[in-house]
Amino acid sequence: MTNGVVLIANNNGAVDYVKQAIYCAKRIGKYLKLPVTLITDSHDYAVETSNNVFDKIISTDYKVSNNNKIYYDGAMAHKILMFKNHSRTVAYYNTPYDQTILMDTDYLVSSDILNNCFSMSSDLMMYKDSYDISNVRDVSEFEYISDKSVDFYWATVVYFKKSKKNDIYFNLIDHIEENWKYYQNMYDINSTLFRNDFAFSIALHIMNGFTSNNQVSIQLPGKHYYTIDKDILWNVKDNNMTFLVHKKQFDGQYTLLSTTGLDVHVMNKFSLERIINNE
Amino acid sequence: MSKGYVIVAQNNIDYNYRISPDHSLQPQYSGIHVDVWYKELPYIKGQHIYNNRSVYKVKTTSKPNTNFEELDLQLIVKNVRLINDENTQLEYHRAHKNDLVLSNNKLYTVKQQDNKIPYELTSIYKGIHVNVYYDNLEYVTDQHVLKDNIVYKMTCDSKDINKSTAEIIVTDIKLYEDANKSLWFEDAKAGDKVLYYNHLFQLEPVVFDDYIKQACYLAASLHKFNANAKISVITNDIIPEEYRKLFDHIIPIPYGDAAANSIWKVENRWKVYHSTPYDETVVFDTDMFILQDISSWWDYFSNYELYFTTQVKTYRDKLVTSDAYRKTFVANNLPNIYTGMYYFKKCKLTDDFFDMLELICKDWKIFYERFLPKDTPFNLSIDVASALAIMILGIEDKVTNKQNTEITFTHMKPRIQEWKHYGESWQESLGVYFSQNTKLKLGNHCQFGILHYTESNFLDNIEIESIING
Repeated sequence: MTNGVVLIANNNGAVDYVKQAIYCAKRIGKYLKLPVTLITDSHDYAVETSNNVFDKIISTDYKVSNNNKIYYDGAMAHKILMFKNHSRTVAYYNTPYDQTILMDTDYLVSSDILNNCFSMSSDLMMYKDSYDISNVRDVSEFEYISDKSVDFYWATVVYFKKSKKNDIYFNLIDHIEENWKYYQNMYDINSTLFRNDFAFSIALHIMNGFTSNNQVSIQLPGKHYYTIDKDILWNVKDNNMTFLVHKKQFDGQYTLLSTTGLDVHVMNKFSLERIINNE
Repeated sequence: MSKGYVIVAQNNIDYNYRISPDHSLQPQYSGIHVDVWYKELPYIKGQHIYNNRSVYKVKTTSKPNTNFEELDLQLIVKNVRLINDENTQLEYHRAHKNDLVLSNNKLYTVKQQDNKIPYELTSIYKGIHVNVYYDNLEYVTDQHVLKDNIVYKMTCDSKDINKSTAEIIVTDIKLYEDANKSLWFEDAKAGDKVLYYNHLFQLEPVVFDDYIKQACYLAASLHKFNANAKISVITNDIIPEEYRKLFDHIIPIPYGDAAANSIWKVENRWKVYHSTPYDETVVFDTDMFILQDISSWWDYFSNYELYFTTQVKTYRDKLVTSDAYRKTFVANNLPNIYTGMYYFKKCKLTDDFFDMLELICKDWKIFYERFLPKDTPFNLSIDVASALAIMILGIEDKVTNKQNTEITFTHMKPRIQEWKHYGESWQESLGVYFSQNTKLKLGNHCQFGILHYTESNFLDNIEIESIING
């Protein structure tokens, strides 16, 4: 059985996801000791810049996305940029590994906890429960995909094995993405933005017979910690990370917070890029 | 040992309720506010008042308790039909297109007439044709005539109608509708007798909460998934003939009806213990709907003498954590039990419980004052009363199991659904999708187990025949 991680990086002209993927892959190599495959629409750039950090680099077609979203850089600055998050299921169809962890490039691994999923029996694992590192903010937007709708599951980190069930699951995600307008209405989602978290959540809900009783996937080992893009990643040293956490009622004011040995989903892409550039 | 389900059901009927017409109205006499005249009130110069089908302007300020005839008034307009006012006890009229009407103190003409009759008409004096009285017409022997709200039968041919020419058949008849639209038609309330196109009818009262209908749906859904279920209903209301077969026993409410004048109809609920025909009983609220086979639950119940769930669920199958409707429970440390569904077998402990529940139901104000000093409820609640009985008897551990989250029901009150935005009705927020094979989806979620739907119009989504015959 081969085990590995797949990252997807599609640059949008402003955020260098390939650079993030290289940084992410180095951390995966350090803490999980797993090979990493990159799937990207910037193949040549990735080959040039990655310095053989990747096990494989798989090329996908360049697509222009109509999916635009606000990218914050702390509470006081933001840009509206193309959000090229389409076709995440390509990882399932193209993974070179028997057991795969699909991971966002902004997920900073600082522990080996995810290695436990290779000895677990489920062929599909995701995080449902998540923890804002500030531990004081309202996290209800990550409870359900909308106020009246279904449970929220994170597509940030997904473990899968090839199986008949997962064939159906990833096919269903493709179908949901292709028919996003319909599912957006059906599942009462106010934003027109396509989010993989939503598609993965809806597919899971359907696979579970339109119930919250999840028999299809189990929780990944460890906990899914995240910081929102209004927070700032200030410093990274080995498995220590320092954040400036946005004070909700006081824009521009932050609380200093550090983590040790925690895997953290860092949503502020710009501050992550500054850290990478300073390495 | 016999086992069965029991439902206590009493319809909630308001005989005084008036359903206002829903005409489309065109404003007239813009800016004029017209008060209905009451003898007890003073009126000031320039004020507009309505009395006896006319609107007047007060010319001289008057004192309270002045007779209408003594007021100094200027007639503004005649032939005004009163159709709406905050005082529902006034005498109202039925209006037709182009009629001038007074509705909530403003004058209008009827642009588009609401033809609906919001009551069921039950024929009385079947086959009798009744003519409306007109001056100078001659009436023949045996003819029935309505004059001054009385139906007469002519005893001889005559233009006059009086004791010597006619006999009184029935009194208090309101002229409700006729082919001649120039007549004055009186509006009527539930229970009134009316003349409607020359025939006599009684307007059937409006049933606000049709608990009998709910009980029938509940029984039908129980049978659907629990083939051999024994079900009894305790009621003094009439079960429609076609649905009587859903029940093994239809049991009258014993010891008199203590809930005749109440809205929530819970005052008789303690009597279920004395009325159940079964050794082991599961009691349901009427507004429950069964969506799966629950027969195996009897095995669990048999471990207890009396059992209440303390954990109910949202439509998303999450345990309810909100105390939005449980302020009294929290404030007074009551056991968090729900009586939408509970189990008992006949034994000493249950006997004691229902004795205590009876006392509380009969003197709930005293008990509430004594034991529930914080967030004291304004009404008798059977959840609160039962919890209080359990607390007083000190039997919480014997009648609940907080670890059990399976023997429960889905509670649809909107404020406990983990929603940020909600209205008065959960049905404003969620689509209801009911399939022919008795599968139910609320929003994106398939439902199983027992649904406590809490809103009677939920049943408008479901044909009972589709459950019985499906």
